[in-house]
Amino acid sequence: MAVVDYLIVGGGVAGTTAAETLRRLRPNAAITIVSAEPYPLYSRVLLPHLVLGKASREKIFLRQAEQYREKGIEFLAGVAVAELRPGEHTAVIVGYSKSDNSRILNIRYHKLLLATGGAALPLGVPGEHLLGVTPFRSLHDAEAIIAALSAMPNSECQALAVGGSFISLEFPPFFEKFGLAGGMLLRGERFWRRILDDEASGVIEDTLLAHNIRIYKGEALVACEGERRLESVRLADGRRLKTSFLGYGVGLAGAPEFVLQAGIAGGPNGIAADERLRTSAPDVWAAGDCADFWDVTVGRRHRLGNWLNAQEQGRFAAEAMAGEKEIPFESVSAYATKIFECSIAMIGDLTSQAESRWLTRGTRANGKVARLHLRGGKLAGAALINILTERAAITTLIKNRTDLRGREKDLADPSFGLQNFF
Amino acid sequence: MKYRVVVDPELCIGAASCVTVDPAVFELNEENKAVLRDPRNTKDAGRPYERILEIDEKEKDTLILAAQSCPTLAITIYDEKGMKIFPE
Repeated sequence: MAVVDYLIVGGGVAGTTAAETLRRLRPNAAITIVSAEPYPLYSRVLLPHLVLGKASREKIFLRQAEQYREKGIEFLAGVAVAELRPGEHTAVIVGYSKSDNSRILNIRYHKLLLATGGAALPLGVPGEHLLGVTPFRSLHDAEAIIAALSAMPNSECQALAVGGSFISLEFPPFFEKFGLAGGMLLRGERFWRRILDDEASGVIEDTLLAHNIRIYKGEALVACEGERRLESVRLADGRRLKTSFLGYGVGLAGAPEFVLQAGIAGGPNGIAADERLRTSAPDVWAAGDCADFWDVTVGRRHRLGNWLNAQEQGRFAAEAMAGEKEIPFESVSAYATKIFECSIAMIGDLTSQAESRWLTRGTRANGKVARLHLRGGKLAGAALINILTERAAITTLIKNRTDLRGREKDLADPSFGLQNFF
Repeated sequence: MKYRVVVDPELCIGAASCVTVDPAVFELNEENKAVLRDPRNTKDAGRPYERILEIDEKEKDTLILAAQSCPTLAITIYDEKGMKIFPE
């Protein structure tokens, strides 16, 4: 039985940041990271660049194995937690091999951080395990996508992507890069159907259409078909689209099985955590994409799946585990990407509540639209499509909780400068 | 203390994590790339990719957190003697 002060499950940005923060705060503590992926920390944000050939494989790694050793952090890669016993403060790790060839390692911890990230939610249709059907979460996925798209004859049918948000939208530029005709399947009539309206979604659609990406709206995928390899997808109305590639991004999977089996509260939305990122088990915290945490800034529990949040929560959890944090976790979340020429940024809270009011600033015709989420007369969040210059002003309005009651007309008028609110 | 901060626009993808962590120093330009403000002179119109900042110890800590938050390691920080202090 190994004994450590701090055990961290997950070697992504939340787990790595937590380990490094703990090392800074506790120079003599024994710290171990167990990571399911077989490599050191890499940038998931750069994975699209890897597929597009804009970043080398070497470039996406943010740590080298020796950097963990130099910091005195034990890093066990390519292993999994088979069982967690929070009452005994023990984790059973499998896939581990050392000189004695034992494949099982029991680790007793004083404090544990769950930073397991978020696996892709399965498509939930028959045939989703066929070759050519792939999510996009990991370096492994990125390499599978490169292999599949480069093997696809460009005379053939189209490559398809399914889903209406960030992950699925990464696929169309890949299709273009590999010289393939491409299409997107949307279950609803718009991208981010709960956030964008037709004007805002229209700007994204126009960008895709300009790159010859076909958009299939209101189409539910019911099956992936083929022998061993994907040959076609079947839609709810019985139509078949011939394809040998389907990329999907339909959300994140829930709390890992070993966490639920240990009796730790959680569910389809992740591992339940309070405002200080503590789980229901003693001495166990959760951070990053896996954490369904109580967010004091929005007054409810939710999960944020982005790089910056994972990093900040990793740092916060480490400080809390070291006994140096007695305040709630607080942060204005933001995520941004660029799909072809179209920039998309999501800032703050974008979940509609009963008292929510939404405003549209800009038009599809002008190619720039902001969707503003107002609650209680204040700006809670914003989705910005091709809006670069006003991003800072909008973020400030959210952070300052500026009272915007009675100013809706000005907010919705792109010719009204937002600086007039300050 | 003085620090030289450099943003590589080729690496920057406009994720804006630096802007979130340290809005006094970083902002996005028209091309959605991070550029450097002068926290001591907010009226300064220049928004270059490189700037020498005169900041205190606490501001330095925030600056390093901002550089660490970049998912593409596009931000480099040098001390007064020209020694690279981030990335390590």
